[in-house]
Formats: sequence, C-alpha cells, structure tokens
Amino acid sequence: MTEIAAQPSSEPLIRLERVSKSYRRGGETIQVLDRVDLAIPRGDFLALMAPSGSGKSTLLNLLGGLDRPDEGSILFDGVALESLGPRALTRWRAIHVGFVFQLYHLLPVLSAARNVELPLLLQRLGRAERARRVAAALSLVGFPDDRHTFRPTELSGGQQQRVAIARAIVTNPTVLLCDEPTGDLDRRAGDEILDLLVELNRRLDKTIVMVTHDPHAAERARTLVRLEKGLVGEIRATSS
Amino acid sequence: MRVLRETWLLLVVSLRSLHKRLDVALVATVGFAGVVLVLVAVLSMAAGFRHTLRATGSNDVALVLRKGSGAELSSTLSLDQARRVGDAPGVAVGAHGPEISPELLVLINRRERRSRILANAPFRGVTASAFRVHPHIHLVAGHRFKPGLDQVIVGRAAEESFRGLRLRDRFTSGGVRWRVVGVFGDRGGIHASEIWTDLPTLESAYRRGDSVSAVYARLVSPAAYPRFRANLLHNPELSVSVHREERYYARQSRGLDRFITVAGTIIALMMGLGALFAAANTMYATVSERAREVAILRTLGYHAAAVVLSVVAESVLYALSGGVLGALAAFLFFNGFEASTLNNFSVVVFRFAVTPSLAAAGILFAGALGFLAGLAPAAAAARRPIAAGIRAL
Amino acid sequence: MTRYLPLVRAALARRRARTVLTIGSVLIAFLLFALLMSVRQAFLGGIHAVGKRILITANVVSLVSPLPLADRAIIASVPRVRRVAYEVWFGGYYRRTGNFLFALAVDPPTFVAELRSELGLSPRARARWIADRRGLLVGNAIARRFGWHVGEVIPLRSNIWRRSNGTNTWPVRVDGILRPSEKRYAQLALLHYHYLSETVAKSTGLSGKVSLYRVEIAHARDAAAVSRAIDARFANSPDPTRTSTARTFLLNFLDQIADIGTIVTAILAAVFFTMLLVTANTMARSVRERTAEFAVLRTLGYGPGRLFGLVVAEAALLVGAGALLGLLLGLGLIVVLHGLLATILPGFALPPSSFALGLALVVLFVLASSVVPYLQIARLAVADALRRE
Repeated sequence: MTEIAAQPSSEPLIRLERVSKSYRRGGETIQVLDRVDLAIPRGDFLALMAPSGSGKSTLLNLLGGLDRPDEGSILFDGVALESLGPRALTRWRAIHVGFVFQLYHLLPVLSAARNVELPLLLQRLGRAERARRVAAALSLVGFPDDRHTFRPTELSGGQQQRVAIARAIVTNPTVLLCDEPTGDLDRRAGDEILDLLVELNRRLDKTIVMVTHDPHAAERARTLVRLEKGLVGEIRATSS
Repeated sequence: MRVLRETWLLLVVSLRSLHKRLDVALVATVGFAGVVLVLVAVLSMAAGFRHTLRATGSNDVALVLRKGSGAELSSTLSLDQARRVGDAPGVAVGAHGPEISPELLVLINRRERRSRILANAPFRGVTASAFRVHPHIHLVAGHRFKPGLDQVIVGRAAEESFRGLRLRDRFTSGGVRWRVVGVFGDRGGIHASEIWTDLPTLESAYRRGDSVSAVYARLVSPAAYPRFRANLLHNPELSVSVHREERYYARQSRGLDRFITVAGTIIALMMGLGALFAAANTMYATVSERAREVAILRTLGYHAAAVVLSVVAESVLYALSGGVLGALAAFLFFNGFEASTLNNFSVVVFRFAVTPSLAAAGILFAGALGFLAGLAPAAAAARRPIAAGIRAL
Repeated sequence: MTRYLPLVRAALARRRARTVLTIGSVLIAFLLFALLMSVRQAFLGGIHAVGKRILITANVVSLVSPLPLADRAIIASVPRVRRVAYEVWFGGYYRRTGNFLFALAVDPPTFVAELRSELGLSPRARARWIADRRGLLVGNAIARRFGWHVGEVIPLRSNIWRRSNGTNTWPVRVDGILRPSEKRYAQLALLHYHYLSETVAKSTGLSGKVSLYRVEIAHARDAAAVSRAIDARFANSPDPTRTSTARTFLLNFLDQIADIGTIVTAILAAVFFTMLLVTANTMARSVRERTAEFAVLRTLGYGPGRLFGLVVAEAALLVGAGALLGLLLGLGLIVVLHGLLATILPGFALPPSSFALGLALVVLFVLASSVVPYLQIARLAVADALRRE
C-alpha cells in the first residue's frame, strides 16, 4: 500500500493506519475498506470522493468513532481511538467531533435554537451562557435571527443545514465531519453551504472532512482524496 | 353496499400488516381481557351468592318467626307456638299429620379449612318432618342421624369448608362430642353450609329449653299462603311474623348482591375507560402507520366512510377477542370457585357462577368499549388530507 | 437536570394523542388504586387502632352465645388483668330496620374508662350519662344523620332483643354526643347494660348474661399467657370461653364477611398489570420511532446512559403525571363518596401509607416500562440507524 501524506510538512491531526472494515450482508462478506492509510493534517479541508458503496460513509463513521475498524488503528491527535472504551469514546466525540449529515437530522420536535443547544446540554454551562453560544453559532452560519424559534419543518433545506452546521460547531470541536452536506440541496443552497464550510475552514481554521460524490463540491476543498474499491486512490491538492 | 365492501377490503388489508404492530394490538386485547375478567369474576361472585339463596326457598313453604325478628337467629318460639302453626288453614297434611318443621338454629365456632379462621357455622336442630318440608335435602353419603345419639349430618359445602366435618369425623361443641354420620346436599341451596342434628339433642346441648327459632310449614299450594298468613297474624296469642320461604331468602341476598354488583360495575367501568385509552392508542398507531396505504386507496376512489368503518371495525375486533379471552379466563379461574361470607351472622358457602349470560354481557361490554375507542382515531384517519398521506411516501 | 426538560417535553409532545391516552390509562390505574385502598381502609383500617392490650373473652360456642355476668369477677381475679368491661350487642335501629346503628349495651363506668381518650366526650356529658340509667351516648355521625340533640328521648329498637312488655322498643335519652378521632366510633351508640338486662324478656335468656368481656391487661406481651389463664378458669364450667386479642377477634370477624384484602389486591394486580403493559408499550414504541433521533444524539456526544436517563425521565413524567392526577381525582372522589357512604362504610378514606405505596408503584412502573427501551438503546447501532433514515 502506498503511504502518501497530503501535507507531509506538518504533524497530521488524524492518521489512519492499515484500517480495514467489512460487513456481512446476506451471508456474503463485503470488504468495504481494505488496509487504508491516510493522514489528515490540522486545518485541512479534505474532500473524500467516491462512488456509492465504496465505503466513504464507513470511513466517516470510523473517523467519528461511531464504528470500530476490524483491523488497523485510527490515531486522533496521537490517541488511538480503538483504545478508548465506549464511555470515553462518547466523551471524546462530544469534545472533538461535529457531525453534519445529508438529511440534516434535526430533531423535528425542537426549535432551531433548541437543536443547536443539544450538545451544550452535556457541558456545565448556565442557561444564559448556552443561549449566548447558540446565538453566536447561528449568526456565524448566517442563520436569520428571526427564525431561532422555528421548527425544522418550517425551514428550507439550506436553512436546516445551516442549523445542523451551527449544532456541529457550537461546542467548537476539533474536526467537522460532513456526510454529503449538499446532497439534498439545490445548486444555489448547496453553493451557499460550501461557501460556509470554506469560510469556517479559512477563517476559524476548522479541520473539515467532507464525503461527497459531487465533483463540484469536491472542487471547493483544499485536498481531494478518491476512494475506490476500499482503497485510497488519487490524492491531490485542489486549485483553491 | 359499496362502502361496506370497501370497509371489508380495508380491514383485510389492515389485518394483513398486523404482524408489524402485534405489540400494540396485543396490549389492546389484553387490556380488554383484563376488564372483562374482573367484571365477570366480580359479577359471578354476586350471581353465585344470589343463586345459593334463591335455590333455598320454595314458594309453597312458609316460614314463621317471632314477631319483630327479621331472621331465624334472633327469633324464639315456644314449642307450643310451633304446634299451633300446624293448626292453621292451608298447611299440607301427610301420613304423619300436618307438614310443619320446627327448627332451632344456633351458631358454633368451626375452623375454616382453607383460611383457618374461626367461622360461625350454622347448626340446625330438626325433627323427622324437616325432610318432608325441605324435600330438596338429600343424603349423598352415610345415613341420617338417629335421635339422642349425638349424631349429625353435614351439608356438602360445610363438609368441604370446615375442618373436622368429614364423614365419621368427631368434634366437640356445647360440651357434646358429636359424630358425623351423613352428608347431605341441598341442590345449590344455603342449607348445604349447615350442620343438622335432632332438635331435642341440640336444645339440651345449648340449653335452649323447649324453644325453637322458626317453624317451616309446607302449604297445600302457593295460593294457600295468604289465608295461612292472615290466620296466624290475627291470632293474638301467637305474636309471630310470617314469610314466604322463597322471598325470605331472596331478600337476604339483595343487600350483598347489590353491593357487589354496584362496586363491581364501578370498577369495571373505570377499568373499561383505561382499556378504552389503550385501545385508542393502538388505533392511533395503526392509523398513522397505514397513512400511506389509506391515502393511496383514497386516491383510487375509496370512501372516507369506509376508512372510518374499517378502523372502528378493527378496534371492535380487538375488543371482542379480548372480551372472549377475558370471559374464558374468568370461566377457567373462577367458575365454581368456593367462597364464603356471613349472612345474618352465619356462614354461607357459595360458588362463583360464571353463567353464559354474564360472559356474554362481559364480551358485549368490551365490544362497546372497542367501538368507542375506534371513533376518534377513525375520524383522524378520515380527516387526514390525501396529499399529506401521499407525501409520507 | 432541568435543562433536559425541553427535550423530554418535546418527546412527549411528539404524539400528543398517545401521551394523553397513556397518561389517562395510568390515571385510571391510580384512581382505582386510591378508591380500592380506601375500601380496604374502611374494612381493615381500624385494626391497627385496636389496642393491643385489650383481650376479648367470648363463649367458646360462638360469638352469639352469651356468657354469665358472674364471670366478670373471675376474669378480674386473673393475674395481670387490670380492668374488665362487658357489653351486649343490641342490634339497634331507629324507626326502620334499614336505619341500623352500631349500638352496644355497656357498663358505663368501666366502658368509658377503657375508651376515655378516644371518644372525644366532655366530662360533664360523661357524668350525666353514667348517672342516667336510660341515657344514651351517640357518635356525631349518627346524631347528624338522624338530627338528634342532647336531651332528646329516642325510641331505640332492637332486632335481637324483646322486652318483657312484648315490644322491642327502648326509650333512651341522648346524654352526650361523641366526637371521636377514630371514625369508626362516630357510628357508635352506647346504652346502659342494666337498663337492657332488667327490662329484657325472660325467654331471651339474656338477663344476667353478656355478649363478651373486654379485658384490659398491663402489657401487650402478656396477651397470650393471660388469654390462656382466663380460658383455663372456665374450661370445666358450663360456658367455656375463648379469649383472644381484640385485633385477632376483629380480624376474624371481618375475614368471615369477606377477604377484602385479597380481593382488593387481586383486582389491583389485574389493573396494574394491564396498565403496565400500556405504558411499557408506549415507551417501547416511542423509542423505536425515534431510533434515528437517538443515533443523532449519540453523534452529538450523548452516551447510552444519558439517553437512557432521558427515556426514564420521559417515563417518569408520563407515569408521574398520570399517578398524580389519578390520586388527586381519587382524593376528590373519596371526599364526595365519604359523605354518601358514611353509614355503610365509615372510615372510607385514603390511608396516608397509600402515598408511599403509590410512589413505590410509580417507581416500579417507570423501571418496568424502561426495560425494553434500555435494551433498544444499548443495542442501538448508530451507523446503521443513520443510514436507514
């Protein structure tokens, strides 16, 4: 396997070492990831491009500690995720990871602001402090002030995704993991979300890993990684 | 007609996906089963008690008590008064003279076999004529007591529920060592809870002199009662009260019967409300799960009324199956279940009677609850805009 | 914990009809609980109030066979016996047999001494009654029911005894009204034993006899020994006795009427079993429907323990609200019924211990209905749940 670091000059934030993962489906074993090596530097905006079924969501789940690799190791800031117990992994996730999903996954029964507040409830913060941080996050993602109390069903797709991103960054996590964040949006709204991610990466120096099958979206990232048949293929820096 | 056919189709389609919501369907069914079980069990207790007291009296037998006492236990008549009852008009006369039965009732402490409590067992002293006046008394084991030998016969229920009253058992009471020489039945009547011996022996054992509690008289016909009664009441030397035996016992069951029935009905109504909530819950779940399916059928031209009917029908179906289950459980667990209570201070043993009419009433009650439970979810299903249902696709 | 409240509230608001109906089911269960516990209390509640230092001596034959009055001195001579009172069950009613009252013919000095503290009787009324051979003391419930006042003469009738003049009516004068703390005594009517005994018809066999003796002993621990000693004195007399504690005596009598405790327990078991199924099912369904939501919360850093905590809180709110409403409604109903049932079931009231039992039932409900959700959450495969959406 070829060992290629995207930016060998800096110490990587995340390092995957010979990570394998397979699933059993209907008696058949599917090798989704096969001894993958990957290094993601701090401050990178990395796009993982791949056709469906090539294990990109699996990789994202592994990065976020939602799933464990069959073999190999995932080092996050020097800590091996597989060495953490379920409890520690949950705590680690609360501190370091923000997730953004294709279908937003907002809780339909809660208002926009309440949705953003969810991860803050896990920290020892006063009500006023929580409200302040929620407002800051929502304003950062460009969510209109007068819609904080709206339910997700009352918002457009783009607005829902902004709320979801606000929820992901409100705890100031180390890394943002985005699974097809523009997959369910029209071109214009999708572009706005990509603008926002680029902005978060440039201005706030957030490390972002984005899974997508849309070349247009992938173009916006700093680094592009192609994943094929469970293997890491081409890696290159994008024009931007 | 079309609506009914559509309803049937909707119901069939719905039941085909029953396995997806088996849990809620079971909860609804068990809920109804529980209600019917409690209702039928409680009412069968009242029915059993009522049957026992009703089975005791005949309408051609009159009961004579001392004036002012409502029950045998507080009544005292002298033997002379008792004899005069036989002279009254309307009393049947057989080979042994007028068919009257002077009887003395005392209570003795006996331990109940199951609960081990000390109970007031009724002990009745009778003469040979008692078996002619109460023809439903029949020996099922052993033989009749022989006068003066401290022998007793015991009712079947008494034999069962009290300790030491089996055939050939001996027990001590009133300073006498009694011996059980026979067991008798009363065709479901109250006397099966009693112990019988000959009148003079009982009188002397409990120092009652020549007194008796009551006189039972067999009349030539039920129609002879008014004349018999009028004659005794107008006799200034007697000072007695006269009752039809049938009514006398039926009246005794009334208070407890009413209490159990009212209390049982209140409990069942409340439980029914709870089961209704559970069933409505089920139907809401069904309706929301089937929103798509219903929407598609509606676009195909199915009536809203058919949707309403099918939901209500499904709810009634759960209720009826629950009702049948509950009634069946009540029958299995409680029919013939032996219980006892105090009636005029003396123990009455009776058996729960889960009658077909009680079971039917329970099942119908469940059906009605099921109908009510289906209404609101059915309306919700019919009101839901078709477009919204399709979107849920 | 209050900061999670919006989350829990929102979960319950998800399916409003289901939440309301489930709370309704729990409400009914606890309403029935309140009512049946009150019925139980009406029957058995007095038991604990019955003094442990009181023994009842009755005829061994049965409760309705009398004992000679002469036995009193013999019982009083038994060591460790403090005081001996006696009474006759009068079988009293007013005008119609339906107007039944709990009437006892007693020996005034000893009886009042025994129950002094519990009857709520003024010393003046007591003295008046003791001095008045035809005097009557009645509980305030009866006085209110029939509109009786102090000084009034009442024709009290008996469904057991008959006078030597052929009637069954004893005129008595109301000398005092009892205002007892113990509700049972509010139904009591007390007349003089000697008035009854001297006027009762010879044929009744009551003159010189009593129904039973109430024997006060110094220490509850002597109950068994003193009972045996009393019964031994009469073992070879024409009227052997059976002595037991007042509590055993009362319990035995109530048990003969019906095993209320078992009946109440059986019905409540059926009710709670059914309602438990309803709540448990609601919780399981609610959690299953929200599998994806729980997965999202897991990605936000919520651990399984915390999610389970949220579900338990949800169940607690559901059951707690139902239980609280049910108990409150029950209390209201009990107050109303108490008035209506005063004559049939005096002492129909929710015993305070029911609240502790109710709380225990709430906890049991919450825990039992959280079992399935617990398994669902523990088995939640976050990655799968998100993919399924």
